[in-house]
Amino acid sequence: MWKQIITRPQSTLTPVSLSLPQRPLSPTTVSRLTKVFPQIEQVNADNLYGKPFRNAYYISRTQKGNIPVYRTYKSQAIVTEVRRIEGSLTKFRDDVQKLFPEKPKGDFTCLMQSMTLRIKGDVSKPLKKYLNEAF
Amino acid sequence: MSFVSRLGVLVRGLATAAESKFPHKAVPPTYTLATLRAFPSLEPHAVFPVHNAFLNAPIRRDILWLAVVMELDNKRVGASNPPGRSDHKFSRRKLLPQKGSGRARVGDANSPIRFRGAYALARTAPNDFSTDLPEKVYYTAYRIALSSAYKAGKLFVVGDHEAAGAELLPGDSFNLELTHSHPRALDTFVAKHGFSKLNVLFIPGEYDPEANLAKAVSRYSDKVRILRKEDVEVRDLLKADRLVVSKDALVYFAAKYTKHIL
Repeated sequence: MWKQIITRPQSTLTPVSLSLPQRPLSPTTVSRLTKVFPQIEQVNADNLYGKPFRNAYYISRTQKGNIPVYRTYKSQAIVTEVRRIEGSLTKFRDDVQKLFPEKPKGDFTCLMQSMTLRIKGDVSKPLKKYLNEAF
Repeated sequence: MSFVSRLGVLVRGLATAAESKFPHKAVPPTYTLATLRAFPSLEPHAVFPVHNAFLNAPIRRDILWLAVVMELDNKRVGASNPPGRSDHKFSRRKLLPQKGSGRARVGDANSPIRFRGAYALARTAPNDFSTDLPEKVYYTAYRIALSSAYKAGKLFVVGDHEAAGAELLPGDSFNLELTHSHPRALDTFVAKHGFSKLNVLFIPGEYDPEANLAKAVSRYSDKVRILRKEDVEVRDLLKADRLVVSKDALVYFAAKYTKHIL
């Protein structure tokens, strides 16, 4: 039965999207694609995802190169928020608690969904200084 | 004390002085590996590195929720056209005299404020229920949806690589296309991989409605779908139990949806 089947590897009609004018990729898109799909030589054991990133954390800078620490208001109370935390948020909270021993531990809240550390009160200036040295 | 040992003491003293305030800081890995496969056997032929931000992003249910709600809002036609007071069944008669009854002023029984009156106060049909989401948020949701499929092992990338061997299984190719026009070809693919009770989504690089795969999918049940890469939404990615994506389509997604982060 299979011998009678017509083998048709290529369509006779041109695809719809081929007939549309295709714009060439812009240089920014090409440079972005080389970041998303790097050459295999750029990949090594250190930067390749293997085991989960446990008991460690990293804070990336914002697009403008700033530290992602923000002073905001929640229900009229001043809070400090640290965002862009990758890895273990609780380890980061423990380390920050050691930097501010006078603050009660209940003032520190971990928002796990958005990976944000929220601290009651304004500690943005000293925290930014510490983070600026490390990250 | 020799010079070397003195130097050793000096070095140790410096190391203790420069103790970090963040001892658990570490740089996370940047890349992950995805597999290139042949179709329809889905036999792996090569691996290629991909940035974690694109295929290995942390799952954020709240952002996925926002994107899906927006997509469903924008699908609504808003054609509901409930009767107004001029369309309703009751008479135009004024129910009470304007003055003298001691009760509130009323008009006719069709008034929308009355029990069993008309339904619509201010009709704007066709009603527009569409909402929008910042592009950054929607693109993040797209990357999260692709990442969740990748992490769960539901994403199959079909494509060729120069390092891949040329030896293919019979009937295989590096294109997302069936070599046979027979409708049983797709049945065989679904049965052999155990996809019969799963939602399968094919995303070819160039959608051709006359291609063998597209024709076979159109004859198949709703469980198997094929979409143009431009038409794929976050909800399609999330609803698919198995995503079979051509390499060209993946590159298209990467070019479009990593715009604000890389």
